[in-house]
Amino acid sequence: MCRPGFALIIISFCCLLHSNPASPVNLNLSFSLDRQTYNWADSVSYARYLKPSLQLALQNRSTATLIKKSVFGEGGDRWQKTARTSVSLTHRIKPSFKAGVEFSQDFDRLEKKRLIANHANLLTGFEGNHLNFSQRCGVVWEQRQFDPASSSESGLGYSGALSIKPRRDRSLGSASVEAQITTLRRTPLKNIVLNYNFSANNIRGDTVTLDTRQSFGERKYFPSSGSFDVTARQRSEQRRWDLHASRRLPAAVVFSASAAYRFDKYGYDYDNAVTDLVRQNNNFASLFEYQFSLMRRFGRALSMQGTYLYNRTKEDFGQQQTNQLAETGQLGMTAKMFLLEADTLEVSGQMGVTSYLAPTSSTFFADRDRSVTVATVRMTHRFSAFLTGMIDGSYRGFHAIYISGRLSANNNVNNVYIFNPTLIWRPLANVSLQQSYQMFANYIYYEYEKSDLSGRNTLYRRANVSNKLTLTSSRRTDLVIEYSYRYEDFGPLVYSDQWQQQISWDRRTHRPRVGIDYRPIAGLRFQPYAVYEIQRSYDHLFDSTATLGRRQKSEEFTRTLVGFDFEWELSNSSHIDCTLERRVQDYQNQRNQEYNLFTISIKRYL
Amino acid sequence: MKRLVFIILIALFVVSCAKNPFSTRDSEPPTAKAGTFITPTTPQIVLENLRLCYSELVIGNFAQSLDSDFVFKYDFLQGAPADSGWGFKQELNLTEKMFNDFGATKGERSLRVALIAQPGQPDIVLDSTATLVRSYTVVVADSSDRMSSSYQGVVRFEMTESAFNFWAIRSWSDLHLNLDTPSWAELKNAYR
Repeated sequence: MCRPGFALIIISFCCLLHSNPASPVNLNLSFSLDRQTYNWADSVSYARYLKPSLQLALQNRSTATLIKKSVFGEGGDRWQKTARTSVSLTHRIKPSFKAGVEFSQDFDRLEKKRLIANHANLLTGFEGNHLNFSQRCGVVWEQRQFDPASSSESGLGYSGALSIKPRRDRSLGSASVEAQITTLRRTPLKNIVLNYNFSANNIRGDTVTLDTRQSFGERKYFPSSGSFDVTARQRSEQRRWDLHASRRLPAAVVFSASAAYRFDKYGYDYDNAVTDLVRQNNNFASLFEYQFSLMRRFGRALSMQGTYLYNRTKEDFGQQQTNQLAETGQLGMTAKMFLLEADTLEVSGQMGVTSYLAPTSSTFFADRDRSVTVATVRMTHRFSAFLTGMIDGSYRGFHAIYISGRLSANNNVNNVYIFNPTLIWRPLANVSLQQSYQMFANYIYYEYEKSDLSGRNTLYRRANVSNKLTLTSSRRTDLVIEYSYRYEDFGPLVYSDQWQQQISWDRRTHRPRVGIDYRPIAGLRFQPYAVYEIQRSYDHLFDSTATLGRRQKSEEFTRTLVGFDFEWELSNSSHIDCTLERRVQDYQNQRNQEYNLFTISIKRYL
Repeated sequence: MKRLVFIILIALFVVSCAKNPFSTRDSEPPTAKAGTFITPTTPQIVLENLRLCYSELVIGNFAQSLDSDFVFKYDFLQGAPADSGWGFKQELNLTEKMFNDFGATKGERSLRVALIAQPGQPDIVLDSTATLVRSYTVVVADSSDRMSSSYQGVVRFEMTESAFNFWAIRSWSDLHLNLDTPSWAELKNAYR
């Protein structure tokens, strides 16, 4: 565990020491260990002007995962790595024109399978007032290994981008064309993208924006996770249209509307040897969506907003049983009230129905409606400079309706109620106490079994109490003491005029926590903590001697967490984070489980 | 006058292309047994629901097992740069297609999932997050319950307990058992 972490620290400090503002370095090193899984995610970029018009740039980005043996049946360690490295040298021949060379490598490895793509390109770029142009052209050399076999091939590669902005103030918008071609025999690539953007606004705040994008592509790739023997061809077409407008109407009403259109089409051809297990069908999907909203402020005391959203998605996958049409209509209202200086009240509600339609109504299982209703209330009251109170209340109703008789037995209603008051006390300058409570109830019942004791109609209830005391002993040290208690119970429901619950089990969890927040010098923070958790579960047994249920302990679980967080802000641009946690958990009648979690992250920006 | 025409056109557009957010359709009376969904009060129950909804092909129960910030990650290596995964909507879409496809031929084909705990990987269940590692076998069987194809690998589930919902899967990382055996991700990918 220690070696990779120490190696990262040493490398990072070398980079930090050998950089100066004239040669900007961006460094991001991250390593984490969770039991048998090791993760690395690193990136470094470096740029240096060798002469005022000559720039050298280096970039590397890599991720790696190592899973130690025993997770997989065959018992070996497993490596997965991805890296991209590039180095470029560019010369600015004129203020508006530059040219150069670039070498880059993409490396991907999964166990015995490796894919390495090398690129050597000539770069040119033009930056004008109304026209920008950049292109890369060169050779591509790809090497593929599936141990012990390997193969390689080379071809030509080109990528270019042209953007036009007819007027500097963008009043005619801006347009761009991007193209990419690679002529490798087994994995060629052709891609072209057209973009157009427009935006306009006036001094009253009325705005209109339009973003459009159309792309066509064709590529070959290896569809199987196994060897590089077989290929597949994918042809794609994508369209994106986004329009947004807002306008100030009489009576201080703001009207805004947005509309979006999406179209994605994919076609596939496979080598004969490709197994059916990994073949995809030709398909297309389109989406149309619009949303209207009206908003008005009534002085400083009240603001109200109403929205309507419509969404229509059509999917065609070439097989009738998988095709689908979905339509959503959703209405939302929000009101915010500022009653007095110390009081705020926010009420919001939303109702919506989504219908999923199969090609032939109710023939297939997909035909269903989903209705969602959400309501929330939030109130804040500042009693005094020492005491603030907040109350959150929420309701969410969810109704699933399957149209087909083959699945309509699953039609169900799921209602959630949450009540969440919080009090924040600051009796002294160096003492603060936060108390929060949460009550949660979830009713689930099946429409066709509402009055039966089926076991599928259930009520789950949960109550949390949390107290957090922060004692500031000096400018540098805070002591944080927390205690939380959680109660849960669960059982079947039966309906006869009103819901009645029979508790099947309950569970109680106590969780005290002690932590210190220590800041010895500016930029350095050390936060050690210790948590103890005990959870006891009880079954409620019903028999002839106990009609109300006999409570019997079924499980006891304890856990101890000890760890620390360490943050070091070396400067405005350099940051080190480190976390270490040791967990010991003990289930009743099982041996102790002990494991460590370690994360280190180093960042530097200049 | 122009403004009035514009407003009328907008109103006509909205009326012709809108959906009532208050009304739902009526359903047919049940002709088959309901699927099984156990209220996921622990992370382990989520995996049991996952196993059950694959064999019973109930997409609504599958949707309840996923968190809205769900991501699926896989270890394909199809080309450079490598693919990495997809999100909640795409997972739900492809699973629905898979369930509809198997549902339409229910008498001829079935799906079965077996999830087995790893001896060296105990479940980590914290206050509102959990990590569970399982090896799996997904079997496609024919009408006489004979295996026609199987997908094997190891899966790492990161779960979360959200305010409105119970335990649900936030991250699903699929790893090949070995590169010669198709994984669950490849079964899913065929329905993307």
